[in-house]
Amino acid sequence: MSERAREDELLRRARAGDRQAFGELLALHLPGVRAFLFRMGARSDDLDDLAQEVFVAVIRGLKDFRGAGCFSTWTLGIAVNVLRKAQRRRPELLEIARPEVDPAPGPLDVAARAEECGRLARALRLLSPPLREAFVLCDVQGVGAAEAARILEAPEGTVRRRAHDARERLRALLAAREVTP
Amino acid sequence: MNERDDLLEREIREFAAVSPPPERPGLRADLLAEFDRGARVARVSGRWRRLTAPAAAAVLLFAAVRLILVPAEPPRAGETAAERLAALTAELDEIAAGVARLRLAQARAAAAAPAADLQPAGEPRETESDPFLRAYAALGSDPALLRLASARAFETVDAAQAARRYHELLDQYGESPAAAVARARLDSLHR
Repeated sequence: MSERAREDELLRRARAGDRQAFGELLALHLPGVRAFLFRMGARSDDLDDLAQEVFVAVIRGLKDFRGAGCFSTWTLGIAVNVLRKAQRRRPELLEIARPEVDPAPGPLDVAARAEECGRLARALRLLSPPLREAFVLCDVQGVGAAEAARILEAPEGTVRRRAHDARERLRALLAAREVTP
Repeated sequence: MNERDDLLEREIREFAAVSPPPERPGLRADLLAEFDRGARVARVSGRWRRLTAPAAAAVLLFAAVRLILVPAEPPRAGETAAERLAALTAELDEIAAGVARLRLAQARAAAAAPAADLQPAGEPRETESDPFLRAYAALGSDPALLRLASARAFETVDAAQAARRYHELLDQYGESPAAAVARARLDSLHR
């Protein structure tokens, strides 16, 4: 059975209320959603709350999902919407990097910065959300432009342009060492 | 590839290689519990939808068939034809009230069912296409025809026999205007 057929079968069973099938879908897709949220800048204390919100929405929408696209595309689309809504509620959620540095960072701050995993993570925080979304999906997650367009509900050309603009901006930021610790 | 491109590519590789922190313990268990809750709610509402309309129809069927199969009581001593006709009308009005309840139950079931909203525009909904309800809708408030229609729609009793019984019943009322109207409609339905 192909991967797609296997996933369709799991979906069919999950829609019928099969707990084990949903557990398998969760095992397949939760890591991808968490990785996306993390790369978008969700901190560890928000990451699992957001992932939970995404999959609660998945559970509620499961019956309406007709399999027109890939399940991962649908799930990531929900993740994008959950993240956007969360940012509207809490603008500091994926905060744009602040240049000021705490003169005496405590152990938790140090741990949080270590979690940001380097200069690119900090540079990403300087990008607008649409550029960040396109870049993370296309260049980091390795999602094709067409699929990213479906996830972001934007024309493919727009997504390509955003990813291109994001790369240009990141190159400049990294070269200028604006984000060097 | 120039130096800036090279730098970005290297940073992307490093960034992509970093794993998110470990999942919160209990995250998957919480989601599976949420899934169970959702499945339970869906099962209950689905069962409710499946049961409501047939249950209401069964109650109504029982009432209609009982009225038709149980021989009409002969006029009691001292009961005038007008009183008997009024009693029959009241009895049949109960069926009309049952029809209203059935319609309401089906409307609620349709409103509760998301699939009903997916029905293409212009196609009759279930309540409109149901021959039983259509018959009632067409017959309106005429109790005698209502009763006969229920016999025909359910095909559980002999409609001709029901019609004969009605003629006999109406004959008892002679040429009263109400009986004449009911008789004429009964004839037109029976043709």
